Amino acid sequence: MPVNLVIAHKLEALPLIDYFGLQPLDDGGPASIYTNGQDIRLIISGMGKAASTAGVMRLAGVDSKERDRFAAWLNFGIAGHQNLSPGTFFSAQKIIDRTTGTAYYPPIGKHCEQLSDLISVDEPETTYPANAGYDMEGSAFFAAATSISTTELVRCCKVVSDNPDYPVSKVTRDTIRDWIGGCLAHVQSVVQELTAMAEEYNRAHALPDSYYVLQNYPGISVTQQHQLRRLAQQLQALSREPVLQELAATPPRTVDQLFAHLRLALDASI
Amino acid sequence: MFSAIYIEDEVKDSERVAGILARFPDIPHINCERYGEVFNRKRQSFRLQKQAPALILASKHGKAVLPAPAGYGFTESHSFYFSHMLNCLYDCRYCFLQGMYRSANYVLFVNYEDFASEIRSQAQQVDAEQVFYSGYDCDSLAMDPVSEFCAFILPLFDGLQNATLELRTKSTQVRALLDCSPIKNCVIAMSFTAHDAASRWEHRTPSIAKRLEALLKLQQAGWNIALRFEPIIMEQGVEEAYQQLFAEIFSVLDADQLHSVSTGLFRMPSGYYRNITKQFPDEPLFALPTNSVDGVISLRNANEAERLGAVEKSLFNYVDSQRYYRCAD
Repeated sequence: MPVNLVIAHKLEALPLIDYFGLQPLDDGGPASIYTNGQDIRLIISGMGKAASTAGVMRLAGVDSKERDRFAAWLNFGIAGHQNLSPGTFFSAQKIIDRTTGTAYYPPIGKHCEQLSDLISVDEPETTYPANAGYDMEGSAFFAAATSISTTELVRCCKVVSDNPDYPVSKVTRDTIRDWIGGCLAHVQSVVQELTAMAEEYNRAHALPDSYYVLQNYPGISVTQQHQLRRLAQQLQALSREPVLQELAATPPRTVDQLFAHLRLALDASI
Repeated sequence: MFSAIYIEDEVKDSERVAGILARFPDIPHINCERYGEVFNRKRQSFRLQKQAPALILASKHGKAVLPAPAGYGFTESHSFYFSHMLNCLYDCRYCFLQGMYRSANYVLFVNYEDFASEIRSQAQQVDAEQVFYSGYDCDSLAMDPVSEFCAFILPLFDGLQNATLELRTKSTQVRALLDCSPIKNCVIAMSFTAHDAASRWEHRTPSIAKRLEALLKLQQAGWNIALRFEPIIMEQGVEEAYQQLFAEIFSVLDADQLHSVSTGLFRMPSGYYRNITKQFPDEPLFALPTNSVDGVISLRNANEAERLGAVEKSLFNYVDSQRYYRCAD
């Protein structure tokens, strides 16, 4: 199952695209998506909260084609910081939207050696008033991604690009490339951790193919589809998938008969 | 032990909080305005979070002491419960907490004085015997080395003659109890299920042998101890499994010195059950057919009452029925 990377700027994305061997998924447009064809997707969302939200939603649209599975989400990019040195990789432990005052608390992963609060602002912050990182996407990204996935699968990591001693005016394409490049091993560790968690989650929630056959039974209502899903989960948990396979191969004549068969099989497990 | 410690603004300057934080200098300390920002947020996976829970230090607002649910405990009237902690260090698959809370993080309410004040006030309202249950929303002792709640609350009950404290637990963290003189109106109630059930569904809990060892120490030190056999899940061979467990337990403990013994069947509010099945769709226990009566889920078993009767009969080989009660359905 993929980890979706949401990156604001192409300069930040290029080292990741190279590192993970990503290829364009489409031919451009308002935001570009790249993938390794397996477990990593990356979108260059554009800068700012609205762009980040839109980027998450666009990637989620790609996800929705994959049935009943959660993706993990990672926002990565550069950030200013009051105290940390340029090039320092950190994970956000608390994200504050400066405009709304809303605070978000990303889970603390195993690979979070350096943690920091992160304040998401609407304009670049040059005075760094709090002991925190400053970016322009984190809060919107986190709100959008946790509306789609479960919070434990969403992270926000940054690399420090500027601080009071190294102002944003000194930041160049080359420094961005170098700092992002210096963090790739950290990013990979986070991606691996998220991938493992997403796989575990999705494995627990996976349903057999026979369920998807039965889900399309002619005349089945939406309510019945929910009931079918739960019955399929129960039978699978009780190692009785063969019942589903048999019914998918030779479906009963009516929906009522289908449910009667399923309930009978479940009752037989008592 | 914790992935992080969140500290609610209201308690960040408390001495108790400072003491806890000092013990965990290497764990991230993160400030939050109210604990609900972390604990109650939507879209959390209890299951994934349980792999690395955080500790949240907070202040309990509102009523700290509440009437105990009907049928909970060993007396019919004047029963109350309080929860200085939400969630449990252990990971028992049958536990209703998995469906009650969105989060698997532990919340420790550090305003112990407010709990004490409400308990004292409640106890003084009537002269009749009252029971206060701890361990409804957590394990009473598992986190005691961190919370040091026992050392705080026991002296209070020592001075409340008409109030009994029940500490419900699966923990062997009994040092705080053994370090002080037994209090006659305090009961340490240890929960057990049969060996097979424990190995399948009780994760991260002390073994039955370790629990027994802790209980024996408490009994020998003069503490009131009680046994709670729940939830009994009526599977094939359950009668023999409990027969074996009872033989093991009563070869160690003095049954005549027990405060009380109880049994309870697997029961759960249907809303909690629904939440749990979403978290654990692959768990065979939650895949079994169920009955729902008045919003309470039970496993659909043939002859459940009869089989519970057989378990009780085995129990009465060791325990006087006067000490026994069956947890209400």
